[in-house]
Amino acid sequence: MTKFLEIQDLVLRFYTYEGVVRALEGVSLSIAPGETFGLVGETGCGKTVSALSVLVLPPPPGKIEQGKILFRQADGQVIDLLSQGEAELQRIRGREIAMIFQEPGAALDPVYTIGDQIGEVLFLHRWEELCRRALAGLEREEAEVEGLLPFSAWERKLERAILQRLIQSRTLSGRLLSKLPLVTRRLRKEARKISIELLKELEIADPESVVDRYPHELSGGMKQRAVIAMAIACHPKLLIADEPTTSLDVTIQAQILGLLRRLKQELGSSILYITHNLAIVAEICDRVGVMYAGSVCEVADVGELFHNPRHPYTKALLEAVPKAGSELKYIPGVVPRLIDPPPGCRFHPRCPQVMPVCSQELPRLKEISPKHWVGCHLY
Amino acid sequence: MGELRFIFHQIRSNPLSIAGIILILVFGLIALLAPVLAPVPPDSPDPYWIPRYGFSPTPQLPSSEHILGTTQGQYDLFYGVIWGTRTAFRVGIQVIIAALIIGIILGSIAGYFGGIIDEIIMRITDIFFSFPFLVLAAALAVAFGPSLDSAIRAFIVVSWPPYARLIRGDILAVREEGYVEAARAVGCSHSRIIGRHILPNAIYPTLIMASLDIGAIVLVVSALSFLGLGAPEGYADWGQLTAFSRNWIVGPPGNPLRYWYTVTIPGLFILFFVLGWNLLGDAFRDILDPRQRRR
Repeated sequence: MTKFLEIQDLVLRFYTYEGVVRALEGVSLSIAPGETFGLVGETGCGKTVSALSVLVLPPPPGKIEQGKILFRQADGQVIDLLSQGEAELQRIRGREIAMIFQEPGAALDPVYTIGDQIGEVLFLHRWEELCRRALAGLEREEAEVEGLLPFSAWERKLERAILQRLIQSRTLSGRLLSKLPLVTRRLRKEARKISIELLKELEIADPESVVDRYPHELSGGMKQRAVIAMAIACHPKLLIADEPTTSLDVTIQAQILGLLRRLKQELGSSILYITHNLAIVAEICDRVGVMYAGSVCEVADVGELFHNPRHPYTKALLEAVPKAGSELKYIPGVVPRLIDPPPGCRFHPRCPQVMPVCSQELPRLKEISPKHWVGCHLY
Repeated sequence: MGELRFIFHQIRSNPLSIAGIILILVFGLIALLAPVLAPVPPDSPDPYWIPRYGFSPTPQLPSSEHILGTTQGQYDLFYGVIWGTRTAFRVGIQVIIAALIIGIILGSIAGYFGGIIDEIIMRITDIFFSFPFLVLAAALAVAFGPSLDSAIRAFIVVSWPPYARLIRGDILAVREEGYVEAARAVGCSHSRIIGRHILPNAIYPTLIMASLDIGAIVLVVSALSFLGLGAPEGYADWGQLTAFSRNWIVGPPGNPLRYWYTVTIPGLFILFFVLGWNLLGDAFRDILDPRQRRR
């Protein structure tokens, strides 16, 4: 199995007034191309922080202390994201790795239209293509219109020269030139066209009018589609979806899930899907990782995990799914405070099969059967 | 288009906003038409210098030659207040724009990056806050040498800290918004995030405060001129004109109101100018502040 994202032993800590919060303690997982990997766990177990770490955006005051995040780029080169400079990361974010946020309402800037916001991603990462399209548009216009006035002929010549220069290199002078209204006007028009195409692909009704609307004018489902449009604008290789359906009602949830599945096939990207909803995991994911209190305790294919859970926490979690007609089961005890986590395996105070070794040593992930990894001293 | 109509509606529904706009427009017209209203004498080296007609310290009563009379030292009062309008606009706008730029840049950097940078910048602003505003401005104006430009410079130096502090606070709130994180996640640079995503969401309170402050700045610069620290003697400036009237507030025995105009006329100009900006600032707030608008 080829991996194209591999997180190795990631350790992330928050330095707060109350003490050091050990939010991630040796998280390891890997994602194959074209795979949907589900990351499940309770609130506060470190799912979102893991996802943000992949983009190297640890939420302050968090600090990544150890570990590697190996990422295979489009050209086949494998790089460690944690050792990249800020400029390189800005190039990767949004273009190769994109993120869909939990709250679509919060992830859209209230002062810009949907088209402007999708356009911003295009301006950042699909610059060349925008220029090419603008140039093509210019040529088309020239072919159509005959007998140009001398001034507009001169204007077009200038515009064409600037665009050609922008395609070749994006130097400072080029960037300043691109701020000329003459040029931005056309680039904006192209960006708007691409935005409309993207929105159309996301099955939004009436994309031509939605592009020019502000976020507060859209419903939750529409906003989430707009956020997804921003995320897929550059055909990223990896799409991180952080509970994208949590704030939506069930019918919209189903639509969004269907959409993600289709996009994954069309774009050939992988998805890191973060959720606490096991039903969604069963619906959409190929493989699942279960997180508890800052570490991954079990990784397996979806079918294997649901039919043959091995880690006591996974078993308990699956049993705790509410079923009609039977009494609600729950896991006794509470999630540990991460400032002062229990020694050894962090689940041991709540574990029904606890052994003496559990409170001494942190278990490592072991492959107990093909493609089924468990971090527990039982195996 | 709808937005524009909404703005007009907002302005029209508040008579005080209209009053403010009219006042400032009238002053704008006076400043614009100064050469027409008060023609510059042909031998004048600089139109901002008030022509003087003699050296007698006693003010002259209004006459056909001097519509509003002359002040102490025989400066033409009418000429002074008309050209002083230009000075007032220049002072208010220069100080506010420069202070806003400094305040916004420093406040944004402090609020956005936080940590040690924030600490350094905000402690510097605290140093400015620890001095009485007018005293510090006066001291700096003296240090820069008494002229109108140094008074302006002095006020720029002392008036940016409130803006820096205000915008930093708003940025601290906006910085945590989801769309800022989202912008970071699509690969925006820091300057782009500040300029495109944070400032447009955080700047309005600061702009409103600045528009309210233009009047106040003109008032305190006038005060500085009154104390002799602003414009040099003879420069068209309302503060200085009131300073000229200091000895003539009470006229000769038996006729205490004889020279009333020397103090009242420049005083009224200052009063209405400051009032106009304050009302206009309120109008700006009605238009810009998202918490106040929409029914």
